[in-house]
Amino acid sequence: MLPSGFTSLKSKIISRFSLVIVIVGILTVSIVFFLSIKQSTDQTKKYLLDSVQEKSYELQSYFERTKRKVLVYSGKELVVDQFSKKNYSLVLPTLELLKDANEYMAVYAMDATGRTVVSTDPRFLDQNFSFRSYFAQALNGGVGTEQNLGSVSNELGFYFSHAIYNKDQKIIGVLVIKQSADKYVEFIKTSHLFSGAKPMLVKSDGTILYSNIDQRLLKNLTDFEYGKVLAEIKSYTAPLTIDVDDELDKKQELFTISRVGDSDLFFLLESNYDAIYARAGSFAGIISATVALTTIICIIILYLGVQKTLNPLKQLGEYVASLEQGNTKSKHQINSKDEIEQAASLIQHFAESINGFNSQLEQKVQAKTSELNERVKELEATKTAMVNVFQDLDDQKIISDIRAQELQKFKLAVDNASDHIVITDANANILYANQSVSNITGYSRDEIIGKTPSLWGKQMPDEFYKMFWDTIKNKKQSFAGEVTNKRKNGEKYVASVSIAPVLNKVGEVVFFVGIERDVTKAKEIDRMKTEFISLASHQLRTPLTAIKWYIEMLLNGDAGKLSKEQLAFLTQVDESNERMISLVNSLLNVSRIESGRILVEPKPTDLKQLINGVISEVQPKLQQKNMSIITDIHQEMPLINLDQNLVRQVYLNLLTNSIKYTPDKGEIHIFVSKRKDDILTQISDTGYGIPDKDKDKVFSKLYRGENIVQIETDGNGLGLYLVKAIVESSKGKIWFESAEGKGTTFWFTLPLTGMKYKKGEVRIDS
Amino acid sequence: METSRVLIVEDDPILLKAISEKLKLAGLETFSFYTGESALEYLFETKVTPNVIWLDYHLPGMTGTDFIKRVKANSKLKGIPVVVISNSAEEKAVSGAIAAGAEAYLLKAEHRLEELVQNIKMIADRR
Repeated sequence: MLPSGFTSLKSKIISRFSLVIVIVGILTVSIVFFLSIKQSTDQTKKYLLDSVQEKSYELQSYFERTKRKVLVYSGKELVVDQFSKKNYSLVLPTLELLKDANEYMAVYAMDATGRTVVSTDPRFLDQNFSFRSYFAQALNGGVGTEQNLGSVSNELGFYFSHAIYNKDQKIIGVLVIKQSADKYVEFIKTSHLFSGAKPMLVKSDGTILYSNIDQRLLKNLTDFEYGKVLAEIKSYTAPLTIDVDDELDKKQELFTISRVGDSDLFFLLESNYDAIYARAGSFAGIISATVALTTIICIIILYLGVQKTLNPLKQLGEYVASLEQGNTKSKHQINSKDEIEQAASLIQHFAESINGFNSQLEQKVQAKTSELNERVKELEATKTAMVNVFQDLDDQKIISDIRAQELQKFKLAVDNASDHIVITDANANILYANQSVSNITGYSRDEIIGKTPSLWGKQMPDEFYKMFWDTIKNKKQSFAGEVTNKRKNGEKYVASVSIAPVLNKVGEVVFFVGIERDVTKAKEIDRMKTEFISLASHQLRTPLTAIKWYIEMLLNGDAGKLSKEQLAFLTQVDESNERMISLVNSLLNVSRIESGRILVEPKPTDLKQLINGVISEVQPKLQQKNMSIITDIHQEMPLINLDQNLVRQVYLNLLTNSIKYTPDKGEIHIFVSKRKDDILTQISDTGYGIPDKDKDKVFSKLYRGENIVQIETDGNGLGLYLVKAIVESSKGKIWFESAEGKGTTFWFTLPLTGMKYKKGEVRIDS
Repeated sequence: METSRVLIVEDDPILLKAISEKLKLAGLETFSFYTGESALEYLFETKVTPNVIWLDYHLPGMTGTDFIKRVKANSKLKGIPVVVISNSAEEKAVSGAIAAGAEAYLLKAEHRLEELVQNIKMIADRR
């Protein structure tokens, strides 16, 4: 259902806004980080400066307190009195108190010569410290201060001194408080300014009085190549910070310098920048982390916000999906009080409308469903019928296979037929040619396919092809005839062709099927046969004629009178000779008919006259057998175009047969009637009849009925064959009925339209 | 009355003898030839004109049609009736001979010699 590449609205909003937030966050973090570092560094410097300054004040006030102590105690009545009285030991308890109360290292006093006369530290007694500057300073009035290693204790100490004056304002001694340097810098040691900072207390000449690094103690700043720091001290006016490159470890360091009051002491704090940066960095890191965290929180808030805002949209989608699944009655649960809820309500309303429509539809569907159930039952019945049909189809397939096999056999037969067989399309383009086409024409099948039969044709006059095409294409009739063609090698040949159009259901020519037979040889043989018969007839007839004529002259007595017996014998010879002549004539006629070379020359003919002529011709034979002939010829017989010679042959042969095969005193009937389209002739006799088993051979060449061969020797079995050939070539019909021993009736018809003229080479002989 | 003369052209000597004998018996004068050429030669070179010519059709070297045409082409001879008496019924022969001017075309085997002779005599005597 989801389109490809679907991305939820929520993801889009969150991802896009998150990207913006992250970018802004990263920028903010970067800016804050760098600003924070700078700010932090500056602040650290200021803090250091303030702190150092503050510590300086503290130190100063510490000094000042001690100064006041030495000033106060040097002026104490007891001290002055006892010193005046040189009663020094009485001062000691006071000094002890002072020392213990302030945790001083030592408190002691010297006489005016510098000899220590009283001391909380017994080791100092009788020691002369007049060489000390604090002694000299005290003698000069005011508070003397000195920071130095103790000559006895060898400990660094801060010395505060003040002269003790008697009542006469005469210096009678000097009070000294020795304070531990440790005490001064204790705050530094415990300072939590930051770890790694190195506090120093330096005199204006650069002497390092205090350092938490022992090697530096009492060395000069210049010894550590801090000349730059010393220069600053020497030109000091106010607290300051200074960057120093530490030549030793190649790191930049920060020195914070502050003078301790108006003393000769300077408080120095050597800080490592790494530490400063680290601190600043950690600070910046905290800020950046805060910003990053804020960014993440923003994204989460955004996610939740979007989630909350878009959740109704998701619900809407689910709601629509549930509608789509068909829960059209479900109600939406969206309560976002915004456009989404509005849209959901509209959809719900729409769904309710559809629901109403659906329930109507459902009723219709139910109606249709019951209809459909009926249809399904019908279909089941149809299916059963179909199954039966398919079974039938299976059977048909088997039949088809058998047919295909038969077709294959048929194709083999056609392929290998000795006749030339060609199938062309309606435009005479050759689609198929069998092997004989190649054999006869000399062209290979490849040369033939796709060409037209004119490849080997075109030898006939144009009129022929015109008539030919008109017959097969326009009239859609078969064409049969003889055509002269030409082989590939140029040799001409005569072919007997038969071309038939194959029509489709609407009567259009789809194919032509042409069958050709090379009849060149047959023609040649036929020509030779004709020539032979012509020659034979001439050659046979000449001696027969000679015999005929000499017998005739003998019988006529031209060679002298013959005896009765001679005459009888010679008559037999004459009859045999006449039969011989008749046989030769019949053979000639048959061969002429068969070769189609016979001339048909119709002339308007009075059939009655023709028939009477034939009757008179056979009259001698009738009389000889004492037979009667009855004729009944249609009164209004019209003149018909007939070849009299041929028609005469028909009547003559039939009548001769009737006479020949009817016993003496028999009867012959001739009925000629005019019908609608033709003339019907019936010739009946009361003769021997034709045996049933011979009936189908009656019109065969050289057939003679078994029953009459012995009775009548005269006859050659060619007569009826000739008759049938003449009648049928004249578009007539011939048939007969016969009962053995009762007689025979022949019928034949001749069309009223008569015979057609036909060019030929020979006539029929009588 | 002058004896009618018949010129016979027949390549078969046996038939020629029978014809000649029969015509003579019928009182006709005959001139017999085996070939067309010899008969024509005789006709062209002698002053004798026959009353009728008895002509076989198939002759050595020529046909009856050829013979008739030669006769009809000669002004002196063209009036002589020529009767073709042959055993050939070929249409070409029959129509050719008739067209060339033959008086009749008869088939030998179909006729008795007597009939043919009477026919010839009748034609010959017409003149």
